[in-house]
Amino acid sequence: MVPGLLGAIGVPVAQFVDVKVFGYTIHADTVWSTLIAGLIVIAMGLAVRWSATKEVPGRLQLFWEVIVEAVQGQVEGTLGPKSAAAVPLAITLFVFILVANWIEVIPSGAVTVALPAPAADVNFTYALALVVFMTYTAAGIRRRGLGGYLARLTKPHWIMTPINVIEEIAKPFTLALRLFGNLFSGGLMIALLALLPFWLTWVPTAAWKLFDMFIGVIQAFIFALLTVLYYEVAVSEGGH
Amino acid sequence: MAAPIFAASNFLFPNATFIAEIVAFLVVLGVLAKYVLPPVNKAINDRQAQIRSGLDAAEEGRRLLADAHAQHERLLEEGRREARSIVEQATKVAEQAKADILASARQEAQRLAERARADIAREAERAAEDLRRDLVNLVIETAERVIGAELDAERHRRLIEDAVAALESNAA
Repeated sequence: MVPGLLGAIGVPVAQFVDVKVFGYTIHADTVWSTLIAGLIVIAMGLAVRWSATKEVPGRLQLFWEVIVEAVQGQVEGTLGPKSAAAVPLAITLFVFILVANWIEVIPSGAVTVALPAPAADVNFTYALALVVFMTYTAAGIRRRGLGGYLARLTKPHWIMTPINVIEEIAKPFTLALRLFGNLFSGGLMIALLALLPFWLTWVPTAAWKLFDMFIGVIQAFIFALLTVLYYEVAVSEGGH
Repeated sequence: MAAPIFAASNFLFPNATFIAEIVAFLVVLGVLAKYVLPPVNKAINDRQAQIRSGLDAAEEGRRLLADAHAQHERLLEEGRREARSIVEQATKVAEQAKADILASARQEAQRLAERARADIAREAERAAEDLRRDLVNLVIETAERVIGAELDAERHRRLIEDAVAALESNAA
């Protein structure tokens, strides 16, 4: 029982700042981290909108343009221009998850951090995965009708139907739990390293936070890429 | 404190935070999709159009340059051909002139030589005449001295002249 073991040596596992709203529990630290990440993303976006220079783009604009072009290339290369709806979704997912993951790098406390990565809370990743699931399912049904969409589950043979159903259900969960697991373990590592003597702890912490930033990029990229791929599977003709 | 895995608040189960996270994400998605991505897309498309028109202009310029180059080449070739024909013409004229000059020079030289030959022949003729007259006179004088009497100059002169002429024709 790993959580129990970690709890025994004083590392808080999945402890959140609980707030009761109308009798429901809300993780206040996850929410404010999410809000800060969301505000940063929106501020970065609006800054580009207000300074949208055409001739010589600035760094921030280039950052957006690179992401937009990469996602557009991916989507239009595999889906065709009809699936333009997947583009803003994948872009938002990548940037939002990236900023949310990097929030953890800001030093905000020792063993318990004030600014945890929102993705270290399943509420954040389930929320993203649900939006993605609903988007691509809706796109698939719109493209082929409800019957056509469900008929895809019986391909290539009706015997495969249970496996296909499980796969469909597993998609959003794996999407959410992959991101959660990576960021949760990252936060756990930082909490563990914080137990080292103060004159030593900065060395592995600095190294780990750099690696954590790398993981943050990779996971944001994977989440956005898988979103595009699931979208593709949902709207593609002929199934597998 | 040993926290059991399946506590009332298992950290793998969502709670009400889930709702707040969905709302937050949808807000971010909405702002980006409505206010941020269109201008970014527009900037990308504008720049692509600009690059494309720049490439087109470069292509047009390259074509014009190639045309001008070809024309230049053609004019140069034309000029070269013309120069060649002028030189050929000039060479022909010069050859002709040279031939004319040579012919006239040869003619002149021949004429001069003939005249010189005629002069020489005339001179030789005159010298021979003188010689003959001197010889006849000498013979007559000598004969007068030998026979001591004056010869009938006119009669004997013809005689001697005939003899000399016979001598000459023998010598010739």
